[in-house]
Amino acid sequence: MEDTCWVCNDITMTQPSLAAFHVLWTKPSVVSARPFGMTDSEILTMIISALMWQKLNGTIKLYTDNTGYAFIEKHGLLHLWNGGVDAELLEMNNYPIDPEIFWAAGKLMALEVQYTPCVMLDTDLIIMRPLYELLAQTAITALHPEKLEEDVYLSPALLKQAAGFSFPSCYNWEVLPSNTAFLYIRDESFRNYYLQESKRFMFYNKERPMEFVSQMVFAEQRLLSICAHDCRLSVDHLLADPFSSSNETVIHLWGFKRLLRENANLEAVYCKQLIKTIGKELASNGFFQDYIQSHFSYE
Amino acid sequence: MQSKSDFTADSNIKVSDTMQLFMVSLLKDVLVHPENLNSGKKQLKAYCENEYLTYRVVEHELDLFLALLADYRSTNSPVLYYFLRLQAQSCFVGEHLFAFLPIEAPEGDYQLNCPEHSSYCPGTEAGSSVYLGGMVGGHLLGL
Repeated sequence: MEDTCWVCNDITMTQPSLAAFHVLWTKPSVVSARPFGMTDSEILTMIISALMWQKLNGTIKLYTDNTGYAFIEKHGLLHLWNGGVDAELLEMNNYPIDPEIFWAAGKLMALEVQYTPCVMLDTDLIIMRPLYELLAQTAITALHPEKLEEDVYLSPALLKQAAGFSFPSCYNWEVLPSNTAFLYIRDESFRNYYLQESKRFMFYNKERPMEFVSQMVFAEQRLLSICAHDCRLSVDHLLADPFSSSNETVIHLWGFKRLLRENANLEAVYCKQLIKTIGKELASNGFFQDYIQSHFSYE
Repeated sequence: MQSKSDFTADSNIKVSDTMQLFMVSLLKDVLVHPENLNSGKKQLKAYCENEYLTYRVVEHELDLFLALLADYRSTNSPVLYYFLRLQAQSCFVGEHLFAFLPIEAPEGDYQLNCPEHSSYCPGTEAGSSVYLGGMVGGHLLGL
């Protein structure tokens, strides 16, 4: 099936469309009185992430809230996502989840309403290749396995739990967590089980951890692998090792975002290099070319 | 109007060997004698005219290189060093010419790809700054 990108009228796909989604959940910023914002490099990476997905893989939708909607509107990005923008789901959600502890819970709320199969894609991650054939052979594909580092992935005894909560005895605590900056799930039944367990852990769980990440990475990344193991499903990965030089598929800003925020010169060179390299792939994309000309041209 | 040095228009600008050698000479001089920057820029303007380059764009690239170099010198960050080498190319100083500049590589092992370490820490560097601050797939961007 050919698909036409409505942003650029560029017929590029020859495979069935894969549905993906981005999430911009601003509540973690808003509740902590930090103004929501994204740097130029983060916005540029998000734009390329969305457009490369459309070019190579299919449709992509954005889930955001009122603050996020106002942000993307202000930056002229409302038409970036060919699957549209949903600003209601996250705005209306009233799950008893602490957004500062579970800052990525918005992704899981969006996953809950997506039809399967689907891909959950972080806005700082760019997919460089068609994935249909690869994903068609799997039930679950995440970005890469994570090591069970004990200061990040806490033991069950150290994880904060809501009153009355207990971990099921069926959980296998030895399986490796999976980085979910990219997550493909084929079956609704597994998606529902994973989200049920994740929500069960997050709901009313409001005790602050000493570390920033431990509660969230359990709810999102370790539970994915634990639930898959419990369902006797394997988790495949796009990358066996995130830093392998044989990776031809993924660019993920990951912790590099912090360095970009701290150094404007570094950010300028990064943006320039991103446009020079990946921009070639979007040479015929009018939306991209207009954005670059208006935001990054010297002329 | 698009100039041939506008990175949004052409990412692989070809300039003469003379221009490349001039840029190396200019940078070597300025790195040792920063006070010579203004006079160097006057010469640069003439070279740009000969090469049909837009001087303002080349000057911008040069200023960015020098600013990043100052950051690198104050931090000795391997990440900045890699991006400095990239930015040098925008000043027509390729990999082989970069070695002629009086810029020391960072100390220790600063390879880009780390097969050993992975840690999910958004907002922090994954492992160490030597691994591009945690960026996955940096080599796909030419790093």
